Amino acid sequence: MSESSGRPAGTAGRSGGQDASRESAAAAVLASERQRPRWPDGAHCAVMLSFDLDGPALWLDEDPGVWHRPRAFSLGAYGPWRAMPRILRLLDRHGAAASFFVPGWVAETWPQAVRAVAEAGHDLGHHGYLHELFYGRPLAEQRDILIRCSAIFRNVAGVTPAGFRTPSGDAAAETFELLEELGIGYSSSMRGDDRPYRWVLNGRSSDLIEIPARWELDDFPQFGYNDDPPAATGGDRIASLTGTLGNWRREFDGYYSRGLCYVLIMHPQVIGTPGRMLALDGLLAHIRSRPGTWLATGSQIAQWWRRVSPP
Amino acid sequence: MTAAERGLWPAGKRCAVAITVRLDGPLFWLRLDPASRDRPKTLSIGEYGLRRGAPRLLDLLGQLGLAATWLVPGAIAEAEPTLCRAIAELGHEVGQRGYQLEDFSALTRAEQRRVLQAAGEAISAATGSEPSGFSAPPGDVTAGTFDVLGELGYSWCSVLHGDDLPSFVGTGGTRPLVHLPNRWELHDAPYFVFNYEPAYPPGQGRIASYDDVLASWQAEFDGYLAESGCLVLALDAQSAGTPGKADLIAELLRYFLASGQAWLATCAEIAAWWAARQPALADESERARRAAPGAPGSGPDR
Repeated sequence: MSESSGRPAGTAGRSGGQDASRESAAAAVLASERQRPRWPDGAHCAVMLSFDLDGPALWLDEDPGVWHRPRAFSLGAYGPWRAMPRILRLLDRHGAAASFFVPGWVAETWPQAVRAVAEAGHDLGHHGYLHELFYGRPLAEQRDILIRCSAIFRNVAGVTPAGFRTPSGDAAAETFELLEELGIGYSSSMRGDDRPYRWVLNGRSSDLIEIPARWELDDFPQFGYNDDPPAATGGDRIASLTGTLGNWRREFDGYYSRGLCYVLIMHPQVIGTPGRMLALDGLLAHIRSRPGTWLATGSQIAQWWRRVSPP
Repeated sequence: MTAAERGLWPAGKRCAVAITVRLDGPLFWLRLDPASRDRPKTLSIGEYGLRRGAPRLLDLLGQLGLAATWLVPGAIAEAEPTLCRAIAELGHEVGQRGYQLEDFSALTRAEQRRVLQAAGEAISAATGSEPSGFSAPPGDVTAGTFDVLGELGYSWCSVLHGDDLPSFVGTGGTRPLVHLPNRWELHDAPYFVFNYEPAYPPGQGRIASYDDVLASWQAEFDGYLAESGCLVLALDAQSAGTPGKADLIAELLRYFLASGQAWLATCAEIAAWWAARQPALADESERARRAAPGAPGSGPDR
C-alpha cells in the first residue's frame, strides 16, 4: 500500500517486521517514535527554510491566459520583483541558509534574483520550467524540462541545481527514478514523514534523498488568494496571520523537542509582504533562540543524510 | 430530571469522554479519488498517519495513562499488522470502519454484512480479538446497517449526528446495540486536513488556527461537563499525529484530566456501562423504534 512513496510500508518497514513478531509489537512501534535522527555537531534538530520562487508561472495552473492579464500576472511578479530582496535581507540578518525552488522561466525572466540567491550561498533547486504539473506528463518531456532548466541555472547563475520540488502537486513514481538518473541529489516533495529518507527506486535503496514537507507548514494554502482565477478555489477567506504563524511555531516546538527535520514551504509572492516578513522574522528569532537548531539547505541535509543513513 | 441528576456516569463523574483515532491511511485519499493510487505525494499524506502519527499518539496516550479506541479499516489491519498488534498490546480498543471505507448507503444488506465480516476478520487476525464497535466511514448508512451490526454481535457503533448522549439502535442481536455520539465539531479533519488534488476540503479552505481549535474543544468539554454529555473526540492519526498537533492533543487531554470530573474511557467501556445502567431506556428505545417508522433501525431493509 505504501510502496508508492518509494519506501517500505509503514512502521513495520522501519523497525523490522520479523523482529516485531518475536519481541513485542508495542516496543517496536514505540521505538520508531522515540528514535531520534542524528544531526551534525550534536545539533538537536534540523530546519530547512524553503521558498518556491514561482512568480506568475504559479497562476498558469489556474488560468493559461495569465500571460495576457496584467493584473493576474502582477500578483505572481510581486515575488521575484519586490519580495526577493526583502527575503534575502531577512535571511542575511538571521545568518540563515535557505533553499529556493525556481521554475526555469522565472530564472530567465528575473536573472538578478536568481544570481543573488546563488551569491548568498543559498540552494537552487528545480521546480519545472513553467511550474508544470509533472503528474501525467510523458517521461521524455519531464526529462527535457529538467535538462533545459539545469542549463538555464548554469547560464544565469553559474550553478547546477542540486534539488527538486514537484511543481503544482503530484509527480508519478517514475519522476523520482529520472531525478536519480540525472544526478539530482534530493527531492523535497513528499508528505509522509518528518525526517529525511532514502528513496527506494526499482526495489533498492538509492542515493536520492527525500526531505519531506507538510501542508501545515506551507504559506500558500493559508494566504494564497485571488478573486479571478480564484484561489482558494472555494473562495475561502485569507487565514489569520497570527493564527498561521502560531501553527508554524507550535509545529516547530514539536519538531524541536523530538529532534526532527522541520521544513517550511514559502512563496516569495505570498510571504514577502511587509507584515508577513515581520511575522516570519519573529518566528526565525524563536527558532534561532533554541540551542542546537541546525538551519541548513536541502543540499546540506541530503549530504548529511547520505552519510549517516547507509542504503 | 437532568442527565446529571440521574447520575449518568460512574463514580460520580460529570461527563464521559472517548478518544477515537482513525487509521484511514492512504484509503482516505483513495476514497476521494481512486486515481490517487498513482499519486505518491497524495498517498503519503495518509501514510504519515501509519508511519509517524500512530506511534506518536500511542506514545503520548501511554504517557498520560489513557486508553483510546482506534478505528481501523480492514485493509489497513492487513497492511499494518505490527502497528495494529501494538495498539492492542498497549491496552487500547480496536474498532472497525469497513474494509476500505465503503459508503454503506450504496451497499445492499448482504454486501454490508460481507464488508463488516471481512473487516472484522482482518482486525481479528492482526490483534487476536474481534472488534466490538463500528464507526461509520464517510458517506451514509442504511437503516439495515444497525440490524446487521446487531446480528454480527457488535455492542456499539458511532454513526449519527443527532445526539450528544449514547442511545440504543438496532435489534438484530441478542443484546442492545449502543450508539455513541458523532459530532463534526469534535473531528480534527474538518479543521486540519488539506490537499489540492484530490481537493480536501473540496473548496480548498484554509487550515484552522491550532490555538482556536484547542480553545473550541476546551469550550465544548466545559459544555459537556455542564450537560453531563458523552464527548467523542474523533482524530485521524495522519492529521493529529504531526509533532505540533500531537502536543496540542496532549494539552487538550491534560485539560480533560485536570477537571477531575470526566470519565475517560474507551467506546466499548462506555457502551457496556450504558447498556448495563440504562435497561429501561433500552426497552423504551426499542418500543419507540417499533412504533415510529423512519426511526434509526426501522427503515427499508436493504
